[in-house]
Amino acid sequence: MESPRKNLNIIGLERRFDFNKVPPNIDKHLEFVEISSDGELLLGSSNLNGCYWTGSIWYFLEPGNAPQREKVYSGLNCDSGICDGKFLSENKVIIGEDLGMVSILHLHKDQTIKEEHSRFTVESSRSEHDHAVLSVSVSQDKQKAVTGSMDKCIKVWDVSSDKDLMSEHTYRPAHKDHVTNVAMKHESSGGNIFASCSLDGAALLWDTRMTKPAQVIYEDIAIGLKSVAWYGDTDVVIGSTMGELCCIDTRNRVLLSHTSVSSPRPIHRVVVHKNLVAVCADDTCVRVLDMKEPSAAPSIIYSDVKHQDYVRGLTWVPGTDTLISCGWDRQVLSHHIEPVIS
Amino acid sequence: MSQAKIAVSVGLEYPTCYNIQSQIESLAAECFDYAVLPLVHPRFARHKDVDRYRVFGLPEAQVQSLSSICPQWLKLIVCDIQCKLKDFESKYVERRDHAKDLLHQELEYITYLGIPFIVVSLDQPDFCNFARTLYAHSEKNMSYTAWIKVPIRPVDTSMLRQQEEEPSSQDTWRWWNMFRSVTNYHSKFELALEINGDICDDHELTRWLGEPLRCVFIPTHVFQTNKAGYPVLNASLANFIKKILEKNLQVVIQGVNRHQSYLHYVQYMQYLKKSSHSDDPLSMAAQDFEDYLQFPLQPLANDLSSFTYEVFEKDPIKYIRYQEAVQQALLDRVSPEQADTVVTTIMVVGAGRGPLVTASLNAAKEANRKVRVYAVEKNMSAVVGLKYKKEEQWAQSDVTIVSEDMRTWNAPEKADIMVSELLGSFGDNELSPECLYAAQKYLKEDGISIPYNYTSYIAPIMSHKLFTQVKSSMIKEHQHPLYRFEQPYVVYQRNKYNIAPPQPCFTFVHPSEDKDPDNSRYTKATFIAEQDSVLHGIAGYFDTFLYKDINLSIHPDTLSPGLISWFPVLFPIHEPIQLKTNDEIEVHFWRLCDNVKVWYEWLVTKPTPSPIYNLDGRSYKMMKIL
Repeated sequence: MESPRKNLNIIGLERRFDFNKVPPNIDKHLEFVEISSDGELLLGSSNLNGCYWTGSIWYFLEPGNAPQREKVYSGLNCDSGICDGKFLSENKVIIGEDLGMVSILHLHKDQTIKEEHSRFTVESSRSEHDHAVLSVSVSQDKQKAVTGSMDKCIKVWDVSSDKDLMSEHTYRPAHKDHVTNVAMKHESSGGNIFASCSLDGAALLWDTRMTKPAQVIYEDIAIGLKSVAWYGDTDVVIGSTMGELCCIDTRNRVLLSHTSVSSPRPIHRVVVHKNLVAVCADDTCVRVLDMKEPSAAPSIIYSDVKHQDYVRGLTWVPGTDTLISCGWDRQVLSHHIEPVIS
Repeated sequence: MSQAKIAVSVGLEYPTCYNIQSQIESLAAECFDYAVLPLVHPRFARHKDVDRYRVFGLPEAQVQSLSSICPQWLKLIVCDIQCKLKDFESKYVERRDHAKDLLHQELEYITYLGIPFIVVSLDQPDFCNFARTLYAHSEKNMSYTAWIKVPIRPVDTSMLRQQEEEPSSQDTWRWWNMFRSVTNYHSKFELALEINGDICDDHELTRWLGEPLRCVFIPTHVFQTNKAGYPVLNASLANFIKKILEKNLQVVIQGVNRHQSYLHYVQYMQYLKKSSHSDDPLSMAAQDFEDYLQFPLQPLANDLSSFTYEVFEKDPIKYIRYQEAVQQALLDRVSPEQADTVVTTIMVVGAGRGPLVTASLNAAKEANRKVRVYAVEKNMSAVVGLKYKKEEQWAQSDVTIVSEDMRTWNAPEKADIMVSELLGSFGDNELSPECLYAAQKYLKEDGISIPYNYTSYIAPIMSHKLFTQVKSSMIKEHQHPLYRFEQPYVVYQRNKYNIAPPQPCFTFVHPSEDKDPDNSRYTKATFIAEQDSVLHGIAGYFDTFLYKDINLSIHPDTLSPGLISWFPVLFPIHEPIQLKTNDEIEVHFWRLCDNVKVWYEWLVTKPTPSPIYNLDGRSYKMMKIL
């Protein structure tokens, strides 16, 4: 296996861990969950209040086994907590860390290796953000990724397979406060168009081909914005620190709807599947809203409080109406959302 | 140059605390002095109603394990407090209460751990709820000092946005001014500036330098790379940082390393410090007296001590100027043809331990003129030294020691030249006019007084530091409530900003043509504020002409190089006055006299009136009699 990543950009990163070994424990605060196109589960975790504020990344062949340590396929330690990560392919993931590193990890599925050795290796890693990376988003063609950070910056990365991780654009400062979320536009954008939101109260639509790339699509400086997700090709759904969800048409910046979801608790993450919008906030509830009519007030069609601490990760299982959630209570839960018959 | 003088205190900011021991251990290797880091994870959202709320920070044992690295570990960390000002100012009571809870919890924890320094970010113009919470906590727990981190400019994103945006012309100095005003100049709050790209103009920088600045945060992304690959700052930023380092302030590097090694940032700071180091005798002499308030001397009422004379005699240029003046006067008064026949009578009035006697004798020698010197001194202890010097050093010269008050002495003859050094930081404040006009009776009609005139100057200043010092000075029961604000203070003013250039106040000329000159004065001066600022007091200076154009000055524009005998004077006011750019500041000054004393009164009438300070000399007076 390859040598552990070197990092000269952050001081005090001692080789306390053997990065080639699968770590003994999953860190206690589960942060995000993703399902690959072939149905396998990626889990990110951090330790936010222990002696070492580290993080780790985990892989389960069977989503139902998460987060049982004895049933992991593989895992890898990270220097600091991990807030977000995405699949680049079935065997490649991109993650962002609290220390500002953005890394591409390779998952070696084809080789036979000893069980205690990690199947993850670091393919490429960059320390260019100055503070925690809060969000990572990948374009549909898997050529570009965008990251948003507490350093107020947004970076666009070339993640095409044959190259080392390279930042193509750095927007400093992109916002006036933490960039809480970035979301690549799905369809036919070539990785040039994405949305971002920030605690500064602004949501921006970016086109990296322009000299003035950002356009304000929503702004309320009295509050902060926490999460943004595309709803179809033209609309975005935005969650605020006041627990409100609003839907905006990005073409004319018209506010289509505005709903209180978890008020006054801040929304943390919003994920969209067809007409369903799943939301988690700084509380224990997983909520799903039906937004069939973007201009009408959406209704909450699912609400579950089996989590015992804040829900942090949410993802839809591709091609199904199943939602997976994870949280700071160390639980990974599956939710089957019955389609609403109107 | 001692090593200690070059030392720069540089901190490193960490975004998280992933392994505090290793973080602190590796600081030393990169030559950093301390770390700025959070003790609560910046992403650790929590609320009162979850159990986790109570287990929120880096565990105590982990923090205290630093003692194994360094017994003084508390000096190695500055805690970066995690709070969002927007939540404090939310219109929703739940958000406000929540923000208050979290801040309170974190402040309690750092108080419990005994952390001496914290940083809080002031990143928006509205923060009154936040300021109230912090102020209230600090008042109760005086255990920590808070650095209030203010961006030097508000974050500007207009370059990237298509929509026209108000150019962020917001002046962040106003944020700081608002903060320190609402927290009533709390002594545990110090200013930290955060550089975030472009730097502001020179006027604004000068104003920042007048504030109680503790440190400057410099992100690594503002560094450029020179040809050799090392990090450097652009010229305007480098100049600013040099001024910061000159004042022995601290620097914190923030952000990931963008060069070969973090060490290079520290080395660059050391380089800037070295190149900023000045050997100016005044700033060297003032080192232990920066912003240190002293009461002006009253040599007429209180005899000076040997130590005080000793200090003044160390001035490297004062007596050289006096010697030049006497020499020039001798040459002008006695032609070369008369050099062997005419004896010039020089009277040194207020001779002290005799430096002006020596200067006069040296001048006579240089000028090749004959002199007879009278050394008049009322301080009987100093006369002992004068008599000794007469026997030991001046035995070859015609020197007469007179142990008398110059005002009442019956001189045996009249003087050609009368030499004195009776000036204070505000010119006439050691009662030079009262003394010299009385001594004038034994100066010949065409006699020369050295000095022959002096003028005091006044200028409005902003100084948080000096204001808080005056405010916190002790007051006794019988004294007027405004007592401490009704004193002139002699102080080397380092932490201050000049709101407008000085203007002349009072002038005295010697000898006077008038037999019984009036020593009272009144002046009204109007100043224009160069930018938004706060009036905290009036600085006083003086200059004097000894003979012809030979002068001594502590006026900032004409400061005599090397002169260290006088620091400026400060006339405080008790309530700061807020100023806008181009505001008129109208100041009135009186010098008033009666039979036994002389005193100043001062008053501000524009833009807003103050009371008249030191009415009838109730708090401060200069006594004419022993």
